[in-house]
Amino acid sequence: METKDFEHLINFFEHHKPDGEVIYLPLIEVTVVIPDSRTTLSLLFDTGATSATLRNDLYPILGLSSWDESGNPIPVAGIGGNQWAYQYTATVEIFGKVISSCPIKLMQLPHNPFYSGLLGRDTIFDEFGFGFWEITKELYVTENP
Amino acid sequence: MTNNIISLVASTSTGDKSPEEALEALTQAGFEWYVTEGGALMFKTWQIIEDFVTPEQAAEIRTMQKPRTQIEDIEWLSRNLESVRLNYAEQWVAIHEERIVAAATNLPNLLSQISEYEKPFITFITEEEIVWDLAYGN
Repeated sequence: METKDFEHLINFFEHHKPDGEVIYLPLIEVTVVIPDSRTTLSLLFDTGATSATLRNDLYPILGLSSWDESGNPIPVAGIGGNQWAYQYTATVEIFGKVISSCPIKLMQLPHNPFYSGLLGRDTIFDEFGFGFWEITKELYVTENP
Repeated sequence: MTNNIISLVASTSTGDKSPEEALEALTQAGFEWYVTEGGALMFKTWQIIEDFVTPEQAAEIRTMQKPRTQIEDIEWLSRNLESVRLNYAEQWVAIHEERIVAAATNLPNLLSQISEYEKPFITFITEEEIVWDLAYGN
């Protein structure tokens, strides 16, 4: 029997809607670091996202003057169909680990008050191991995969 | 600094300053304050004791410190989402220690107001229906 060890436990965030439905979201804090600022965002853990993806109106956090500043759109399968994204790199901090040159996409995503984007795989997932327990609404994380 | 503030607050009892003036001075000095229902004044302050430990001990102790997380602020927003949407629709807001500390119609303006806060939770309050279900397109 194979076993894995994890140092962190993230309980899913729980939101009770007025109609009684309960929404569970695996949220991860990610700090985006650019030379003049550090901004911590809440991102939705998403193994289906190729890379970390922020909503396009968050471009000032990357020190950009517009979300399409790179001028090189990348086609992505987005919510509601194929869309364009623009990719940049930044330094990010997750669970105390600093990851430099981390690819971050900006694209149009629906607004949700509890998260600013998706925590996807490229580069970030190389640094961690994850155990996903939907039944108990828990995400286990190791910094030593 | 703290002694000066305590003297300032005490001066309200002698009539030298009004409570409102003392509270304004607290605010300007960057102190977070709270007046209880019973009329007591509470304010938070840092006490600095130099050379408390060696740099080596400091490095060890700092690894044990629990860093601030945003989850309490997200949970506060969850509990108060309807009223926040009523009051801050189509605005960016920053939440810190379970209160809204800044709001703005654009993100650069919001970011310029929150440099003093550690890890505030930043979000945009949409007036549109919130999308809860995500699925990728074809």
